[in-house]
Amino acid sequence: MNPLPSDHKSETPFEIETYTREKLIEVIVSKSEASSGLIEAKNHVDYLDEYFHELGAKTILVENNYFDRDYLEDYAAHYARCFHRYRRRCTRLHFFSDEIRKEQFLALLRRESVPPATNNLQLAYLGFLVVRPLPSTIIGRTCLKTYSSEDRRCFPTTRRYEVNLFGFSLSVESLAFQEQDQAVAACATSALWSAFQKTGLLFQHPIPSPVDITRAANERFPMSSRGIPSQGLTPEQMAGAIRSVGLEPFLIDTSDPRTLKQIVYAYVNAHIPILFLFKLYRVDSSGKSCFLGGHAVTVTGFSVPSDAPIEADPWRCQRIDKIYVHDDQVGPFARMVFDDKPVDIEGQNVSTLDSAWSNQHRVVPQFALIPLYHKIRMSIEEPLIDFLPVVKLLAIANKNPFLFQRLKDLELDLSLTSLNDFRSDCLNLDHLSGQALEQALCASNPRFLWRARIRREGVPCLDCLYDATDIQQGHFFLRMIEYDPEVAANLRILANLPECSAILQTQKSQLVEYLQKPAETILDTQSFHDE
Amino acid sequence: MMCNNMVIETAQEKTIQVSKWLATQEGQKAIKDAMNQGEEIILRLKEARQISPERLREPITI
Repeated sequence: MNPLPSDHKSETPFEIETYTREKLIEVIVSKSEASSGLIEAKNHVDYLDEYFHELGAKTILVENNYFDRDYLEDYAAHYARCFHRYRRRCTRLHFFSDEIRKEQFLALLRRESVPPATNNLQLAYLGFLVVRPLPSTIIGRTCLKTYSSEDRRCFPTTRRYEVNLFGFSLSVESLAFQEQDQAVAACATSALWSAFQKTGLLFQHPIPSPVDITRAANERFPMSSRGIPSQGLTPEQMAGAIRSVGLEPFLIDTSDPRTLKQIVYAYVNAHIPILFLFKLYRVDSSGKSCFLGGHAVTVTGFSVPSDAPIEADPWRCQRIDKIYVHDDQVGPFARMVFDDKPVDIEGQNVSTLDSAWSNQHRVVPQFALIPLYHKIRMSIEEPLIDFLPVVKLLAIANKNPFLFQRLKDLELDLSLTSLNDFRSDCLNLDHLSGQALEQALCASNPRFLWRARIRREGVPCLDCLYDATDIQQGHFFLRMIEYDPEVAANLRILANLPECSAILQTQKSQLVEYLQKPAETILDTQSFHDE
Repeated sequence: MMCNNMVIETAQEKTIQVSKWLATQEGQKAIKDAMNQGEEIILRLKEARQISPERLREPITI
């Protein structure tokens, strides 16, 4: 074990280093109680180095004697009571994509630089990483810029973090990540903590520290052994921790990757991070698998390549090829790939995902746990069941592209959204204008909506809106927004044909009832709900 | 934007064309094939909500 870090009184307020992998390790070692061998062996270093290369990091600004709120709370609850004198103060490392020399930064601090130099700081700012003064689990709160979108990646769960660097206001759009400290937090707590970073802002609840999360989980569902040091949490305990912040846990089995993709698309698009629970296996060169344990990560985004839709499956969510997760054993925004590689697990061929750990580590999905605001009462099933007859009508239409040109090769998606996001979306789209746009923007709608969207080549044709706050027996279909009136007109023709009645009668659908209303009635009103 | 009368007239013509096609063998097959379209998604989601209590108590330890 390294000797204690130098007394904070002798440290300068900051240091500036050129970014290299070796310098990153050197700084982390000097500011923690970890040895260089231990840091070198961590998954995090290789991952972070690749990440910083992707972002173009050139400079590390080391901010000494930093008080990190989350570490301080864990320190007060746990480390302060140890015989060993752990430090209270952390070190915050700031990363920039520009080369910044010490003289330049001093000139800024002394106001000897002209104003554009301070704007350049923000433009070059990539985020920060807090180094905890611990012997092993040294990566504290970390907020880094995401990968660029490249027209396929999206990270709807990020938020803005304000950073004050010696008086200079900087910000980074990210979602906080941290490594489990193996004392007050195992992976489940770290995953919950990251998810709460966003839901706290979305749903206005306090964001608990890791120790508070672990305590809340254990209070509601105590294990037979001690809760701290944390040995991990069960899904039941994780659900309890979600309730402790005033949210409702929605747990669903995602053993089938198609369900996982559907759930990720539906909820992450609504900016809600999902807790993804899975079994982790190591597979050797002979194909033999060894179970390592259950693991939990926070899903923060996903990738949908811009190829043409899959002909056999019109659902956009099924085109997700990667999800991006905060894996506390790897790093922030780590990739998990849907490569569908089968692995022999106890004599059965099981479909797995590529983990973010290494090529030898494979993931068998188990659950998705979604922290939901209590008003989001309606799950994904109800709007999907109501929308299903339209899916069948489109399937019929696809068999005669001559008759149904406007219904050919359409892509479907279903996701939760907020009223504010829906309105902003309408305003940003070119395909809605005039009275239709005015009605879409001004119509009275609930705060949360399920939106079933039909697109062609990425462009919306039709939105069917459902009230996500309603009860199952309610009249939850709200309205249809027709970006492409011909698509809606063709659907109405099909919905009103006696030949299609057999399909439409299998399940009562409020959307179909709306489509079957006489045309002159539809032209006069926009929905069932307008007064 | 077309006026109401023109929209209804075009819709009527289209309805006749579609109805004729749906009465053909090809149209009937299209209806039959579409009957089960998407049902497996609903079934999958319903099954995914049924989770045994034992699984809820399996620890996440890594």
